[in-house]
Amino acid sequence: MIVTKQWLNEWIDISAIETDKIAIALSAIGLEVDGVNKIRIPHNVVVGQVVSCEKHPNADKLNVTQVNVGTSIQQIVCGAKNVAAGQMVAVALIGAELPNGIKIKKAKLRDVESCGMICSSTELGLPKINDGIMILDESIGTLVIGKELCEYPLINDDVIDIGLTPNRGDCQSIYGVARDLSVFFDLEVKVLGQKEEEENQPGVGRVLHINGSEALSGSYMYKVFDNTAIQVPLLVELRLGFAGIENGCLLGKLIDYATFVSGVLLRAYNHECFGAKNDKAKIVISKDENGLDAIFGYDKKLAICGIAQDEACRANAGDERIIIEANYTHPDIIATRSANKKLSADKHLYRSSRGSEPNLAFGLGYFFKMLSKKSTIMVYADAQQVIQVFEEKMINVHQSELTEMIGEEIPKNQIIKILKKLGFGVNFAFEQDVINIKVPQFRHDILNTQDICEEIVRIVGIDNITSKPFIFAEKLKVNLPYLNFKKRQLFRHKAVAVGFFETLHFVFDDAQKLKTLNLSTLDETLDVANPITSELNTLRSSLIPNILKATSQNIKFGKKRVPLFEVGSVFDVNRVESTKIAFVFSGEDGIAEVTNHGKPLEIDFFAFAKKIQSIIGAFELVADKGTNGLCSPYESARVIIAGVDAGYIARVNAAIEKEFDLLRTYICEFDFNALPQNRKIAKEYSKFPSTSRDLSLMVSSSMQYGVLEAFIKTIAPKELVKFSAIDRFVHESFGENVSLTLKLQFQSLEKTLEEEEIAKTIESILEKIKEKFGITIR
Amino acid sequence: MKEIENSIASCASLVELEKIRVSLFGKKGYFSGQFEELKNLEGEAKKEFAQNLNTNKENFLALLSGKKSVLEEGMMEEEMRKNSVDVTLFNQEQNAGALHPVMDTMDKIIEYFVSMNFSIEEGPLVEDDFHNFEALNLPKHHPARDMQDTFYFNDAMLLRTHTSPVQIRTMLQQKAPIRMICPGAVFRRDFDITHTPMFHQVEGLVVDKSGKVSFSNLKYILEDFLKHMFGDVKVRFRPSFFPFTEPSAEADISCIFCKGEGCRVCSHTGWLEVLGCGIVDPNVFKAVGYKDVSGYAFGLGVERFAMLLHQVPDLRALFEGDLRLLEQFR
Repeated sequence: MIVTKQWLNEWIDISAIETDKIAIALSAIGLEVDGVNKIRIPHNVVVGQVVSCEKHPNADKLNVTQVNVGTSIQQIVCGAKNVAAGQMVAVALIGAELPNGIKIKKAKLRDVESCGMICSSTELGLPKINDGIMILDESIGTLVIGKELCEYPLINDDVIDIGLTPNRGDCQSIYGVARDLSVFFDLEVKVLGQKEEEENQPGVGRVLHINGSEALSGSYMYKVFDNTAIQVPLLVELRLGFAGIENGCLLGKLIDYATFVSGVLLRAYNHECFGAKNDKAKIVISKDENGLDAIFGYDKKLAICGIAQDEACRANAGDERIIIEANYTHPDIIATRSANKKLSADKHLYRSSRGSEPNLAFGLGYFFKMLSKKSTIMVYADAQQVIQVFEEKMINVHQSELTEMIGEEIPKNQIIKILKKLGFGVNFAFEQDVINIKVPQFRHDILNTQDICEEIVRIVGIDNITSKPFIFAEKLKVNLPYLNFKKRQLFRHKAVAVGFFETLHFVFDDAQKLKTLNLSTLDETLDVANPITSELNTLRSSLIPNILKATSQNIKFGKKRVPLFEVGSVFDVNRVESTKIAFVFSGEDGIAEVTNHGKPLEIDFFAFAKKIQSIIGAFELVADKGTNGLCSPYESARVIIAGVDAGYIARVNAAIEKEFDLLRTYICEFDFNALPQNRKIAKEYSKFPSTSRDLSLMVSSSMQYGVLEAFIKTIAPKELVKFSAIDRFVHESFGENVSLTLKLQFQSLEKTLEEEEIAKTIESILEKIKEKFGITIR
Repeated sequence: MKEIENSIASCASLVELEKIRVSLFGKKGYFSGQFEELKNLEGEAKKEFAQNLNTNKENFLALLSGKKSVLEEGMMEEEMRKNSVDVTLFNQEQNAGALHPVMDTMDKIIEYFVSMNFSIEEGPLVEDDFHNFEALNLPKHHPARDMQDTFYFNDAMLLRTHTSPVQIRTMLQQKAPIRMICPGAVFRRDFDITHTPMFHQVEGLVVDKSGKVSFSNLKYILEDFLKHMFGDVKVRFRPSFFPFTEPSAEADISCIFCKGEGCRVCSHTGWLEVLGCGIVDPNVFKAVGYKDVSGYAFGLGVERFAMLLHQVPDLRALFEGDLRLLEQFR
């Protein structure tokens, strides 16, 4: 909602209040100011009168004008089509500096001297109103030739942009905002003066007959005028521009303006749509097939109240006899029915569904006041109407309830003053505590005690309410979400320590892409109905694709090492939500520095798995051929944590690495719930020294180490406390075999082990693996 | 003897020193010979000779061990010197990762409320109309639904547009008193420079017996919370509108960039809007079957907090996993 200081000033006298204070006041009462634009026309721009206007001798599109600028007559070459002798115009004199940066200098245009510029509205920093120069009229103040335009306050205005909340239909007009603001500053709202000249005109009954059926929802009021020439004052044009309202029709402009100022919904009909030229127009108002009030002419539905109007019956500035309708319907009726029936609507719906101004006579009166400013018209006396009786809404409020809600007592007389000023009727009840409040018709949003409380709070000012601590009964708070929060935090911090960066992606993904990657997708009946783009047209089933995209971007920006992770929600085919944690590592495992002679190693499977182990703790790997289309079948494993399959770890397959322009890249993804968060239990440990032996074995190259490992575990005596593979060596002389070196560590809980005992143990192990696999020592 | 003393003093290595030691104390060394000679003496002469010999021996042993520690120290010094490094070669580029600024901000918010004895509650991202709208006093066709452009599914479910449905779920599962926050992702069908289709909120709800929870209580905790997040700022409250609270307010903090003087970030107002709050609307309590209760609720956008705290200019950049941004949060 746009208001301006001068515009508001037509209804409340705020001339002495600075705009910044007005903005603070508006925000304070709940009409949040989003911005203030102070429009100032530059110096050396004056009112001028075009004395003569002739075609330029050497240019078709230019005119040579003589313009009276008060102190002198200046010759100005002007390119606008609409320039003509006699016009009052804005002239930028030599030396003027316009808001668009143009400095006015003496110039020659095609050999004709030009001393100044006749300005358009936009050249002065005002809204665009036409394609040519701005022609001045007295709506902006008495025009004095030579007077600086910066001295006309009505066009050097402060435009205030208010972010209106949807409950405040009553503030969708200049008048409505002025009415609300008047309470803050304790000002009187001016009333619209009644016009008297209509008294000698023929009555509206001669040209109009209204037939309103019973049980209508809305109220209607009609006036008629005969039109000779409609003209729109400059100030109206400019203010419509401030408000961002466009209308190509002069009559439409005045209708829009009157609605914007008064808040009353107005429509203009061509009289001929309801009757022959010199006949009475017959307007029939009755319910249509959707249960909404509709306007009929010749049995044809021409408009739906508050929602739409048939283009053919909309009056234009050229029509001879025009009917103006003011209407009001309770916003709930409009909002519910129009949405249920999915009706196409015009701009009235926004206003009507939030609550328009119910004072129809006010809206009509204001329209005719603005219409008669410059137009040649004849208005028929009086109006025809169908008015619904407004059921008064009463709310009984206990002062103690207000006190409890606010947290401190607002004096009763202050409450009453605020409510009265806001237009509420206030009565004292017999009980001391109770206030009977009558809600005005324009405040359809006020329904209960809390609404009344809000009215009081916003005028008192929330900042003026004392802050007080809340006394709360203790309640247990260690629940699953809390434990999950702590767990999530733990793993995220560990991931960061290991060198991963946390990322955040939308939970959306591209369904087609997921399918090609062999990742699960939502069942179609459960899929997103109104996606925002085709790349984000479903819910993700894995965190990895989005992270890979980010990885790819990072590599494009020149990163050689991209370690990313994310914890977030994914959805299965049945749209069941679960939490996953995923890691991606692409490129160099380390930074180029002196110690690695500038050549850090590339990440590999084992280095990646080691990082993941540092974050999530111990796991076992079971080789597989790749969980989904992202994985390379040759470097891929399921990850088993404490006996539970928790997810997978793999290299990204070559095709995907190529598609995403990735460096060598590894990924893993786990069910967050499968990550362990156990208490650690301390076991008994040996106080005797440990001894280790390296053992090189000839092993078949096709044999998985895991098989040997599992076997040794079953036969190992308790003194063999630890063993692992530390080298795998291939040589052509080994044939089908490879040399596999194990490091064995021996230690006893009871004593220091003798050399002999260790040798014996090793011998026994060697014997058993020879028997089982035919493995020999190298 | 003087000669040997000199050679010990001038000896430059442990090997040389060992040679000297052997020449003195070895089996065929000087002192073995001398002690052999002792056998040939008797009486006073023997006694005197022995005394001299022992003094000499002590003297040499002391000289040798003194020299040995000097040489050893020298060797260690040399060893250390060889390993000296140019400490300024230390590579300033870090190896550590970083938490995402939005998630980190969320943690800070959660930690405040947990420390103030709020419980954490969670709810699903895919919601139904009742929990997301209807129960929150947002009946169908309410103009306020326009504020929240919604993602729908083919089966008429939707992605929650705010964390508020968790309030409803919690109230339906638990009895008052309630004192909870709900952090999480929310969705609006909007994508431009200041909107992303997904963002994060933290929502708070306090419910107790009728007449117990007031606007003053709400102000009290939010003022403290905003100081916890933003440091020494001024806090102001403006009336506003949310369908689920009445009265409703928005809280502003004095601009942390210009200290309230007015700058581009605060649109020259000196204030930054940071959260919405209010007294729970009676229709919300009605929807969950609560009677004779009062409560307050508040909600805030985590991205907005993170952007203000870390001066991140572009909202969309937060969802791109761009290391050029993320590396700055190490």
